[in-house]
Amino acid sequence: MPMPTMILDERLVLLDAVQADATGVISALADRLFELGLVRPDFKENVLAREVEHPTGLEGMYCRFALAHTESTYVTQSALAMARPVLPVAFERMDGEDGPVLVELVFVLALDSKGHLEVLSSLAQHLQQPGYVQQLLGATDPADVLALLAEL
Amino acid sequence: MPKKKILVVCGAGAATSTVVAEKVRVFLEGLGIDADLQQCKAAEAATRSDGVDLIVSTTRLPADFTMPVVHAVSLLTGVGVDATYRQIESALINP
Repeated sequence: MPMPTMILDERLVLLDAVQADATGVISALADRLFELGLVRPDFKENVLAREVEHPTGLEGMYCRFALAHTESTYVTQSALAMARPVLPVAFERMDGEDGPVLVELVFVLALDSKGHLEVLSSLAQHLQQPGYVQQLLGATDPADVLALLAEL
Repeated sequence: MPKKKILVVCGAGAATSTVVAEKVRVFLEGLGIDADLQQCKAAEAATRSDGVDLIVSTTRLPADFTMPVVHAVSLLTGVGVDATYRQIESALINP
């Protein structure tokens, strides 16, 4: 069920992202969120710091992904940003297991209140569906990605 | 069975643990197990674990605990989710 105030924007979708590490990819998405006025200036540094302390790399059934996020105090308006790196990017694993996970889909979630946690839940659920993942991995146009994210 | 107390832990104790707690709540409801679920961040787990029957965590925990700890990243990824639910069930039914 789409959240009425959840911002989705083509400028928040980076296909063929060239950043080579987790910090680079998260920064690129956080910068876009800030440019669109959706997060506070300190959102980026906080989401980066949180990723170091509490990594979000996950190995799913059909893809490896990261769900970077931080506290709602840094968020002006809920939004979802996604990058698909050209080459998978190493993220530390959420469960602290040894060795990074090479991530194919990077999400930065700007969540402005608890209600929007449904988005995190729904995203994790959708990423367990092979058809949905295949479409995200194969999309050639940000508009197609937005249509998929709007299903959350 | 007396009401079970479950601590659901993630890095910051807000987002991920909420998602996991909801899944555990629905699972236990299906089993007819009455449970009180509370969430906290990893750093608080040790001080919040008094009287807790089970800890469910998506993150590595800094301390050893006397009660069972079930690692539950599977509830986010779907990989190994049945095994996780079985661990939760047996930790509560045969502690």
